[in-house]
Amino acid sequence: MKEHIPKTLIFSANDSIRRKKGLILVSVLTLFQLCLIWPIYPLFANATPLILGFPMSLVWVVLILVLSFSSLLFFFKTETDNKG
Amino acid sequence: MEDWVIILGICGIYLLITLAMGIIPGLKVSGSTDGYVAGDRSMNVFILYFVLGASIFSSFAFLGGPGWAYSKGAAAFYIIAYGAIGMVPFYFFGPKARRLGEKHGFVTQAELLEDRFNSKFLSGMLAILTIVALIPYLTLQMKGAGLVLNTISEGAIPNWLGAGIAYLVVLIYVFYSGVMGVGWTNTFQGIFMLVIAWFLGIYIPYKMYGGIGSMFEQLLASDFREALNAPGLTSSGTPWDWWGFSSAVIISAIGFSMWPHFFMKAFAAKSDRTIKLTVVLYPTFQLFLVPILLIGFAAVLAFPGVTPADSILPYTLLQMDLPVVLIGLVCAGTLAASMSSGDAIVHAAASVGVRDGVSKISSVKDWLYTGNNERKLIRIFVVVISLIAYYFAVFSKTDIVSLLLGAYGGIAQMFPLVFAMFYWPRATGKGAIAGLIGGILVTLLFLYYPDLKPIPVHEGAYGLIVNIILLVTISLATKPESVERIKRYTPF
Repeated sequence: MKEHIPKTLIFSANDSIRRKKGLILVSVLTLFQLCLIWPIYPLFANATPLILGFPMSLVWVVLILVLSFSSLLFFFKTETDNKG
Repeated sequence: MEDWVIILGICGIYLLITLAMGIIPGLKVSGSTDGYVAGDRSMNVFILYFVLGASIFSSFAFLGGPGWAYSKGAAAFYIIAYGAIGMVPFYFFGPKARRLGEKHGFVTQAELLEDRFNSKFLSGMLAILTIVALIPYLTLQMKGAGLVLNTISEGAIPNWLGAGIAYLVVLIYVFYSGVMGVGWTNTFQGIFMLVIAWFLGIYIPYKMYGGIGSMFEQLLASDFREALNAPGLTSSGTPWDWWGFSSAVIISAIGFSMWPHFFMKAFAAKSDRTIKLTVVLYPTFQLFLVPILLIGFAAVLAFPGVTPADSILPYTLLQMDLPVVLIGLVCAGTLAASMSSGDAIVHAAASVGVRDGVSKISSVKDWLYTGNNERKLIRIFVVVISLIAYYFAVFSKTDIVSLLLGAYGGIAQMFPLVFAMFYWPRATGKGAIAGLIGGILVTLLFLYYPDLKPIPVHEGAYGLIVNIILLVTISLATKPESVERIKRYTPF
């Protein structure tokens, strides 16, 4: 008997909760990446105002870096907590 | 005693410590290929964090980063922008690769792809792509080491000698200890680099301008103001466009986790958790680019017109009235950046060359798997690859930077294959080969004939589009791989 091979993408086939969480994480991180390119970054691309002495164009990039770090850390925590 | 003699003395001591750190771990790992290439799969979070962090922060970060800030302004933020997300795919791919490696004995990413797509040809292609992409990368690291020693010795140490000494040290410990030598030296060099970078990035603006805030205020009051608006300037001094900036960020982010010297470390990790936690913590390493860029900005008003821009860090240090011991430490830090990337690169290129290239030739296969012949051959490759890169670094006039940019576009072409390997059961070997070849050819075409581009985005983006189209259509048109094979990679 021949087994059917699915034509679609398969993510964590046996664990729908992990799949959902992963999807949310990837969407959030994709959004963050979009914040660092056109069309979102141009909104924050000016050097002024200086924020804590740094140009806004730099502060924005660092802020996104910190946010994506936090969201991945949160995902990691929930993932490992569930496993006990 | 002249200052530069003291500085070089410090660099010399630093090189000796690195050498010792590199050789000692080699006494512990097994004599097998697994031990040499994957460290007996024993790396913990602490070591893996520094191995990955320090191999990515190369002389490009330490010399090129301030150079970009100095000459191109906000364009330098691109280096932070792609690293923010670039590591994330590894969170998902890494643990899968590690488990398969442990079960089936894989130590390179091409071995995974070869098995999933059932194609030796693919493995050979990836071996060639890897070596061709890694040699210019290694060459740049050597040039960086030569440049630093040459600048601080005020020309007394020629480039060939500086690069030669630093890389002799690397060669010895990689030859002797394999990946664990890379691991321990990178941990040591990584910590060293972090401390130096944060110290300088805060100290220099403070000393020259009275603080970071007043440095930027003065820059805003100068002609440099425009350059601080993202996306900054191109190398010709004209404003960079958003097409170019955005596509460069995307391609670099995609290519990031695909570099073989990086991906292969999945096989050296002790557990899934080790890999995931390393990825999670990685942005803390990435943050250290901020002080590095500040050094470049500090030099803009004080030292206009320095060429090449990449020498701005050692140049600034020499101009400032810094204690000589400190300059020595910084130069050692720059050597650290160069060597901690160079070691991982030469190790990866040699391992891949043998495991995925030579071992596929059936006539040498039997010889290779007797005794320690495989490890011996990898060591010979380490020497040969170092010599080739050394030749390019010192004698050849080839434009290495453009080679490396092309290599980035090429490496990014592995992404669709690795993604499909884990998530698309219907992907076939023929589809993978067609996608990879098509992607690389299109990337090369637009790299060498940029005028042909319909819109000015990174050449790798065109390559990826063609790659994905070919991968999907040819896969659907050809017979799927066996269910048993696919299920190892994508349970369904």
